[in-house]
Amino acid sequence: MNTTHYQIRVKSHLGPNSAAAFDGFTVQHTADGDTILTGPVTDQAALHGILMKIRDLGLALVEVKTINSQSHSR
Amino acid sequence: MTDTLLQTKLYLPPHRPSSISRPRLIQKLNTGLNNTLTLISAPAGFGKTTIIADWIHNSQFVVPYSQFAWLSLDEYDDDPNRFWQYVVAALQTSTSQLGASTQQLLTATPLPPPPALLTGLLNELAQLAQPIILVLDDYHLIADPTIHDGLAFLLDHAPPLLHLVLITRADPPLPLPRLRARGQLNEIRAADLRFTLAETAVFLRESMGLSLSTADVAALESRTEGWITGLYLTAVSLQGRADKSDFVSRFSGSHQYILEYLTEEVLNQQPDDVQTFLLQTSILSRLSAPLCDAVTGRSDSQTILEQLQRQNLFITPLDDGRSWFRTHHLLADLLHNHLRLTATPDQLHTLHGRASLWCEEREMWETAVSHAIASEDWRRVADLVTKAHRPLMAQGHVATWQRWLGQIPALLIQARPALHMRQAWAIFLKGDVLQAETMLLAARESLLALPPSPEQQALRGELAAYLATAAFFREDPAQVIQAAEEALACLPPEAITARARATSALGLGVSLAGDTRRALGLFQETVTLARTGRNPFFLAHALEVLADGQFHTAQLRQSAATCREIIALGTENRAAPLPFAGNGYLKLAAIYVEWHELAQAEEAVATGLALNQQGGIGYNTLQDLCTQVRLRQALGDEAGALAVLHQAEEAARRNLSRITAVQMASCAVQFWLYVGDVGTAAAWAEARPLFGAPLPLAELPVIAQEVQQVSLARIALAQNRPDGVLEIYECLYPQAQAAGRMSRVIEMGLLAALAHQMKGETAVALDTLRPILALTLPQGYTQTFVELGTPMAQFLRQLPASEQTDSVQTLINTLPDAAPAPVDAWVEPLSPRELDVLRLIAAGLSNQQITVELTVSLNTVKKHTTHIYDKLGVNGRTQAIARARELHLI
Repeated sequence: MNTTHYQIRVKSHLGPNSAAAFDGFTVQHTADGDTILTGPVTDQAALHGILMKIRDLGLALVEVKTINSQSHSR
Repeated sequence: MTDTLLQTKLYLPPHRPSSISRPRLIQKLNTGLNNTLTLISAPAGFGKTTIIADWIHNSQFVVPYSQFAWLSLDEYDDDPNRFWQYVVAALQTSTSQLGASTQQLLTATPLPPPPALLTGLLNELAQLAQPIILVLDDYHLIADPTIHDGLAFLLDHAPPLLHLVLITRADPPLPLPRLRARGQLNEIRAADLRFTLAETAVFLRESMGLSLSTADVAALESRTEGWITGLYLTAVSLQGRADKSDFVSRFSGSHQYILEYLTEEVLNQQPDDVQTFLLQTSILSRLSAPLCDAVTGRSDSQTILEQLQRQNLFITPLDDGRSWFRTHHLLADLLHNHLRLTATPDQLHTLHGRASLWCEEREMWETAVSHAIASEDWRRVADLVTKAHRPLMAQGHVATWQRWLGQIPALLIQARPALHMRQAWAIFLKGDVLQAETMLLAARESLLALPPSPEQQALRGELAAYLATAAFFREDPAQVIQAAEEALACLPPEAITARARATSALGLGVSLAGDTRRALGLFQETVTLARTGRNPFFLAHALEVLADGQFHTAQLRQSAATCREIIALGTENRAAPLPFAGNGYLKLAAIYVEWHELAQAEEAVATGLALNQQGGIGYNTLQDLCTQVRLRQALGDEAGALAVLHQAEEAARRNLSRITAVQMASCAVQFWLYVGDVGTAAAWAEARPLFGAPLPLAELPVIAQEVQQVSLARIALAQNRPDGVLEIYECLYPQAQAAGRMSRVIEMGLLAALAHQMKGETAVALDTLRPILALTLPQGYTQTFVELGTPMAQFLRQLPASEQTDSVQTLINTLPDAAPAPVDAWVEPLSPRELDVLRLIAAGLSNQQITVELTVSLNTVKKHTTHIYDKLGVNGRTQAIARARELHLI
């Protein structure tokens, strides 16, 4: 199974508690007040799980992109 | 909701003839039984449900797991009460008594926190003879955080015999990394579920009866990426085709594209009337022949459904009786999109309208409302939501009901007082009292404009009860009483819970207005009504109010019995205590403090706080904080008392209640008098530190007025102004006595007795004391006397020998410094703390050493010594020691 790395940008700076919800992700605050979460995502179900967490924390989603788009396992 | 449809959610989906044996996955599932959780997480169409259903159907693989419970979640289950009700119902399909104790809690709103809610169920699961597998299908439909919290708690505490299987399209927000790290998680994801080349070959050949070349099989496997729904639809499209290879080579593209393309293919193979049937019924999430007849206007839906089922196309049965069916999720979405493209909005609205009507007739409120919403017939939605109020409240599905209300246009709500007032109540519960009251008054006006009827009358009663509660929060006794009396006049006799709430509100209003004795009668009546209901939360609430009422009418022993009943209600025959049990202990602690049984008080506080913590109540009420200040003070723990007092001050600042503010201020006055700082105590007497200015007496409800007056009297006594005390006494005592506000009668009576004694009027002082003793001795009052210090001890000794009964002797012996009364002139009493300092001075300790001995700061010691010198009228240590010896203070 190939793991894809994703970069997810949300509005506003995340506090340490919110950031802790994204286990395995690095959290980076940008100068213009956004947060960039970077980390490995196993598959689509895992990605949707992360997007639901973002929704439940009430964060505004700005951008989702893959950063090393490897081909599927088959 | 009709029973059969309800039951369909609990049926294990039937074995699909097209499914193939997949030993590698079965193996993985069997091995995973050693873990707590199996997570099947993959997008739609990967055969998640099928593999779990097949695994259970072939349960010889899963020995010793002979029991299972299945729950297919739907969009309506995102409501904590409903969710857990169905979980318990699912578990009961395997063991009928399972969760019986939990069931009773499941109509409460809000639900108790997870430990109180689920510990009983977990204990029952731990005692099962056989292991059990609980499957929750379509868990991605759940978004409510309290449901996730509950499930996380269940996983954390799951007994070894419980194995949970979650089927979901997206990873749930549960502590998966922790479970993974502990090796408690078995995961099956898209990569595992994809058909391998070998499985593809077996599936096409054996399940679908297709003979394809190896190259075609490989091409299909690669194009669909082993995606099962894609393969299945391809196989259906291929059946009966001559140009199989051509077809295989022609299609490619994304899953969505394949799906759409193939659905059209398969749909087009159906006769026209079946196509129309499928499109029209695509608005339904579950199908039955009568419902389909109602929606399509046909009368042969049963035949079509049976035919579709025989072909194993599009639908699967949901129950053994073949009366309910479900369309495959992905196909249903596509069919529905197709319908939306081809039908006019009017046609769509008509279909949804028919479905809504059919469901309404069968009291399937959730589906009736969601079809009404889809038909955009907002009047109908508003009417349905009005009708559904009672049945949904009875089930505790408050979250669902309020979600609907949020979708209805404001104008339609305002035109229906029954909706308007309940919307106002929801807003009240969120904390906006003023807006809620404005809305309630508007709703009341439109309600009164309706022609009188029993229904209108009952609604008027419900609305008046809301108004009473809102007025209670504004501490406006007159309005509380007026509204509560209206409620009681309007509510029908059979509305027991509503009448109990209105009675409770009336009692609280009467109590605010100061008629404590009448209030007590109403609180007793509320308890009687609450006992006939089956809601332990409301009964506990009624008992708590009664316990307070008894405490303040000097019935400490009855109050303690009521507290013990609260504790029993919350703990007996329960695996985990209900949250209110902690309140019972904390109220009991206040009584122990008054009885000067300090060890029991400490224990009750600790138990109460621990239970509250466990029950998810992380804060202390102001009343509990004041009990703790009084207790720390009684134990001589000055620093501890001060720390809690600061917490109480913070709590009082956050709270808008003037009554609460006055109570906190009274607690502060007694603390500062205890440490001998009369200046700070005097500032607190009128709550000045809280408001920046004295709280004007006239603006307070009478019960708060009196608390403040007693505080002022304490200050007057400490400042050697007995006439100030007596002035307050004369105005307060008779009215408090008449209304039964006995806590104030006792405090004020004792202060007045000491004031007379201070003036040298011993006979009057004793006459003032006697009725108080008659009240307090049988009830065991002690701490109130202890807090009045040495002067009280000396004064009690003045009672003639004939009145020095055993109980008076016991009381005297508990008081500080039971030395015989000095013959000397009156000396302003030293506080217990000042006496401590004085004794240490006499023992020859330096100020610095005293700081260590008493664990207080140098400033505090200096403040105490200054007060001691002032009170004794001396200028230094040596004089102070001499004077203290003279006065028998040391």
